[in-house]
Amino acid sequence: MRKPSSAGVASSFLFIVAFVPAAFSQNADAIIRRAENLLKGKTSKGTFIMRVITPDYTREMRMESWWVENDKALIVIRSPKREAGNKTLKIKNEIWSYLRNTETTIKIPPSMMLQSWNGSDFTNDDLVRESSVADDYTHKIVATEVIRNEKCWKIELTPKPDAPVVWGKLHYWVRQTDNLPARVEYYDERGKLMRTMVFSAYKAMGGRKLPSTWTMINDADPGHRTEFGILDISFDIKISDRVFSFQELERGNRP
Amino acid sequence: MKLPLTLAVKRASRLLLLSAFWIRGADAQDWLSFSGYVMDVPVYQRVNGTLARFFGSDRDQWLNVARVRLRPTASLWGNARVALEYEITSLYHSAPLFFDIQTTRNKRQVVDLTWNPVNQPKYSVIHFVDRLHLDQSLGFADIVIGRQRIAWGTGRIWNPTDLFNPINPTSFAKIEKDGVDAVLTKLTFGDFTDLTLVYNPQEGWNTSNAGFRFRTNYAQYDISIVGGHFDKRVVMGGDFAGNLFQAGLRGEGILSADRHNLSSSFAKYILGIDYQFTSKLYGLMEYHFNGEGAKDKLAYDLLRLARGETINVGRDYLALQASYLVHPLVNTMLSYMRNLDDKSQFVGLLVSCSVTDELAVALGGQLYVGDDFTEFWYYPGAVYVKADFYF
Repeated sequence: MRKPSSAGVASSFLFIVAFVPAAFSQNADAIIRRAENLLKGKTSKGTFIMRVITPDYTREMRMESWWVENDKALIVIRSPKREAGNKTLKIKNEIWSYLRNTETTIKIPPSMMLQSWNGSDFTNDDLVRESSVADDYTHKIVATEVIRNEKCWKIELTPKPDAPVVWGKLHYWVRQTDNLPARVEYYDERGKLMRTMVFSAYKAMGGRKLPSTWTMINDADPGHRTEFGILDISFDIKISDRVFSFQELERGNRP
Repeated sequence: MKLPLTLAVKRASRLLLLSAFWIRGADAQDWLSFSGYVMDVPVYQRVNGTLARFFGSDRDQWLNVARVRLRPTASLWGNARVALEYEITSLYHSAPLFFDIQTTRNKRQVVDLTWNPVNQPKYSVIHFVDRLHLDQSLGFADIVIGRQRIAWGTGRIWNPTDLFNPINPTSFAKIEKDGVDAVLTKLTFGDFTDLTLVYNPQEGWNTSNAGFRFRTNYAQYDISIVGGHFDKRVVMGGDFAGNLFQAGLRGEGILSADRHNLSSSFAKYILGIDYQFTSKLYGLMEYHFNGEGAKDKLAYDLLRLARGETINVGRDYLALQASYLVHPLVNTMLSYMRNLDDKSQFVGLLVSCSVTDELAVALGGQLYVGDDFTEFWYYPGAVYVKADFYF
């Protein structure tokens, strides 16, 4: 057998150094995109229950939403009665709120993105930015771990330079069997864990399998969490552009 | 026989409601939605001594405002619906009041749909229809006919472009603006571009009001142009809402002119900025120029203020507001307003607590400071509790 020449070894090493991490990185990128797409689809329409749970109280809110990719969303609160009819309209990185009781429309300024969205552990910023998990971060598989008996890729997401994101890094677990997300950890710029999203109750809904309960645990405020329960959902349906307009935002009743 | 306008509209309103119930009576669960709230506001207020002596009234007054608001909505054929907001308000006051707290018919309401079955010296009950409108969506346009809220303007404290139903920012017993009797057509030219045409009839054609608002979104700014003929005057103006770096920036203004008396022309405008400092602390600042008002306190038009025809009598104002979320269910709001000409001031503090999903309780206080006969000198200081329950 011919021994490999030193030049051959060097070129193989260079190939490995230059291309293998890129291929691995691209793989992580594809995994994240696939997981996000399975969760969100190109369009979706659904009904949800949001429960804000703290050691002192629990609040429940039922809402309907319409999404077109990550660019457009209309969320209408159906209960409780006090909030019913309030709406949130998101177009790319702009958000408007319509308050039913005072019949007013408010444009949300960028600084208000930090504000809690309807008293939950989500912020207005989540509505705008969460969509950029695939585009605004670089992705790298850092481990393989088991979460609730499911083998998962653990992927580290690091913000791209100048990306408009608020997190220092994310850890994102994707189940290897069905490419669905299992867990996401959000770290601030100092590496402190701020919150954790846990996906559970996987079942068939809207023609695909997906987690029907999403729980955002506020790690900075122990005991506080927000649960999203999907009651029904349809994916990749035709949604008129008119749903995402001032006309619908300010229409008195349902869109 | 020619029916007076008010009578004709009253009969049409009844017919509209009866039609809605008759046409869709079979599947009531799907087409009828119902909501409303009950609110009670006990108030202690202290009137300034000079005014109390002048009117022969007690300085210390106890009030209670109780409101029940019912909001049924019925879907009709196609994309049509009829919406009603009916309210019963009772008011107890231990001494005569200088300013109306109850809703009274405003100048944009052509039909009197307010009834006053109880009218005792210290206790009164009124009930009234504050919204009753038929909405028809045609896709490219929405048509709304009847008593409705017309929401023009972007300001948080003042809305000079609200030519229909402005609300006094110091009011604490009301949360919604009065309804306006109008025919409104909103033509849509895109997701964020529309043209609203409004006709607000009055008893005479010459006194009727008509206006337009063209709104669009450009470079992340919501921009509007408004104009029309209101109160026999020509009005032109506009508003915007956008961002200045991380802050929200808003402005709106109008020019109002009487073609027969140009010297009476005036401008009104506001410029406001708000900022969310932390996830819990929010601040807002708004400047208001009120060209209709007077710089000299002796020239204030107090009668119009007492009748609710204007909400401020001075010329220049500054308002500051800060809110802090003490707990996810407890919010505090501090408000400050200053008449920059006569230096009178208003300070308000409100602590509100969400007791359950549907019940909220708030404790508020209002303090008015000013020299004799300045604007806020006329207002009584007040402490109140506000409880509201939605159903």
